[in-house]
Amino acid sequence: MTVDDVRPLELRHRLTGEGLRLRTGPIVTNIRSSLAAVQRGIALHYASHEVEPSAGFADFHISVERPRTLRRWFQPQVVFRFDDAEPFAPLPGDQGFPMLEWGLNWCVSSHCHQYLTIHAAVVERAGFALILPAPSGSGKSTLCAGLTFSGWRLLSDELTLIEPESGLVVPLPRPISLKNASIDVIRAFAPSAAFGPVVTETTKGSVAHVRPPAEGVRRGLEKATPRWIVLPRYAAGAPSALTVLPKARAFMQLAENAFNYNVHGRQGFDLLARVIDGCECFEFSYSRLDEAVEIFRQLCDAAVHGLRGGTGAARLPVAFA
Amino acid sequence: MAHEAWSAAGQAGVALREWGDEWVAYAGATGHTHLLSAAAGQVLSEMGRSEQPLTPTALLRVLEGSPSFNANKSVDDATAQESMLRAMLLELARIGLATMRSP
Amino acid sequence: MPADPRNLVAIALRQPAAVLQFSSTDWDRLVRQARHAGLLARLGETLDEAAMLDRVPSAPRAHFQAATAVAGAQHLHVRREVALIGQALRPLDVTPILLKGAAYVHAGLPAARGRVFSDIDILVPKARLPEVEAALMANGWATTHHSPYDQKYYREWMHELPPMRHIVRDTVLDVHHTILPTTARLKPDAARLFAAATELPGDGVRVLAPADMVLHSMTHLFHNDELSQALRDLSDLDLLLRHFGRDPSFWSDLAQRAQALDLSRPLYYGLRHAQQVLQTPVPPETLATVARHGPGWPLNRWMDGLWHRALRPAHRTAADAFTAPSLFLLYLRAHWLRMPPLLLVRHLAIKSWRRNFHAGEAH
Repeated sequence: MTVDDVRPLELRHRLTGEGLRLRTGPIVTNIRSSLAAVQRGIALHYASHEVEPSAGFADFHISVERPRTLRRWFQPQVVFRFDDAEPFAPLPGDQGFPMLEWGLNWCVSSHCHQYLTIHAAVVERAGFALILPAPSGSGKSTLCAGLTFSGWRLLSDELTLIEPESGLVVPLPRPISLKNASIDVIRAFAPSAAFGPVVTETTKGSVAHVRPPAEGVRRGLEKATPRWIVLPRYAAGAPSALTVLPKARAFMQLAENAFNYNVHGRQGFDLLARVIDGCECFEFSYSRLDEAVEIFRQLCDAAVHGLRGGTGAARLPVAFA
Repeated sequence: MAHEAWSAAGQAGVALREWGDEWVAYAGATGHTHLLSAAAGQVLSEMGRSEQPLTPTALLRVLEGSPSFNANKSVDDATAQESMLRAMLLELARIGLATMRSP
Repeated sequence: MPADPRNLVAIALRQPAAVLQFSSTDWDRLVRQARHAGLLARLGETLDEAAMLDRVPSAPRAHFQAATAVAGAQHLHVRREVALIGQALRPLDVTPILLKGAAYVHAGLPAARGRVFSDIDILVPKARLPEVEAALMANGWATTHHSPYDQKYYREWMHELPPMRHIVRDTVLDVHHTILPTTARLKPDAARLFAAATELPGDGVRVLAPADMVLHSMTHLFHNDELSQALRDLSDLDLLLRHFGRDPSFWSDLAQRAQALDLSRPLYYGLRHAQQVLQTPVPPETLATVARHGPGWPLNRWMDGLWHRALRPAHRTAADAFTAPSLFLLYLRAHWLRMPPLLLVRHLAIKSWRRNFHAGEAH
């Protein structure tokens, strides 16, 4: 049963009561919230996500509510709770849905150490994973969204989970978070994409979330083999260019962008080395999303062609002038 | 310097990987990971392969063929080479990848 | 005392095979309770040692694996840190005694199993304290809690330096010179602790003798005003007792040492509750000897009720209507034990004032 299959009244009843059990890839979260914005956000963005039975095991129990102080009457705030703890300070106003999304990211990055977790977007095509590590503001979310709406399956826009035993990427399909100018870029690029409301008071500027395609959500338990590691850099007016990144440097980028590299120690080093062994590594600068998407399509085709025993080694796609 | 001998930091272990002419190394002693030049990587790799600690002379032989080490030379001079090697070994020791043993 | 269905963590720790009967709802509750009790890693390792971990359903099992990975990484980290502390103090010819978790890890004791912690605690002689502080500062540790009240609270009343944080590694070090504040009604003599401590090869640090280690664990738990880790502390105690208790002479040593250090009351509580909650095997003769030092009736029944609640996981699924008042009474008791009445009133008043008007530094 998906969120879409639950009647709106029942959805509200669960969220206000014992909680809604939502599955995102391997993770089941029990979510409680009496806030209308959060309830609407869940109904929109998690429409295709599986709802698990209320009894049974949930990985995390969280809630997004108004804080229990007198302030609630003058200056509304929202607070995220992990069981009964409040790991963050409250946020102002109507940032309930962004708070939920940041809180869900925190749950995974702070606790799911059964994986090596890298701060990177990751999408899949033909069974291959394209990993986009990057700090905020590098354009990774825009690129991730562009690829997601161009036939790539979204695995995550923020947290790349690598399973140590297999070296595979584990999906965590959730709404893509976009900021400021990216919002309009993706609205124009993918007119059929379902956006939530733009929330304007955040510390990062304007934030909006876009619902991931249903097919990717349905395939949320299919892992992917890491194949490309690409450091994106958006630069206005820049021609699209993929340049080879030496693997040792790509390794350091992954290690530096990993939330829990220290937890994995020597095993983490060996795992990253194994991932790097199997990947082509690039830096990528771009300004036009449509060109970028085309370059990655060619990259994937070359890899698939190479697999099928085509002539010669896979060549780098032609850079656009 | 002649009486020193060096080995890869033994007790906690060192893990090394190489791609192209760059290396990454995990220092068990500190838990930190480092990006190393070709020369440093080769030196560390040689120390790891050898069961005995290696003298600077033996290590210099390893570096003879290394383009990056030789490219840094301003003078084709054994003393200059030794100083560079020493600086490298001290740095490797500082970050927990190598230890010096006096016989 | 009957098994406590609210305390699934205790049930799983003392009898790992019991988890085979757990429903998925029980697993959900157990993971939440264990996480809040700081026992998720320990529970994972206990299940692993009992060859039960493979039989845990995969969803909860992932949480145990994650917690165990964190604990393992912390242990490596702690070993490095302890070596650096030993190095910093070696020029002074001071060999600090490691306390609590750091000691268990460094000595390779079963109580190290799955132990996670935020600070390292060491014990040094009072007379050397100024030099120790100076040496630590010279090696990169800086004091915290800068207000004059806080400094005084730590140095004069808690008999430790305010926590020191390393400026590069960001690790925290607590430096003690006795294991109880000397304004307290019980006055254990620190010199005896130093005399009995054993040196660990190589690192320039020592650990307390077995009986002292156990007594310190007990006094720490049963005098603590902050009980969110109470079950974890009891579990440490249980593992120490099971390990040292294999030597038959340990038990009489323990009782005698408690008398000598004036710690017989905490010993009473420690043995009683470890046995009741975690089924620690304690020889009946020892229990009989120690029972003399317990509180009389009806106080011992009331204390049982308070501790019964405090020794559950600090999670809503483990609480009942009496949990909050019990914790509050134990909080008052802990402060009463530490300080003469006048100081206590003033200290509690200041603490309450500061909590209401300042965010942050709590002690």
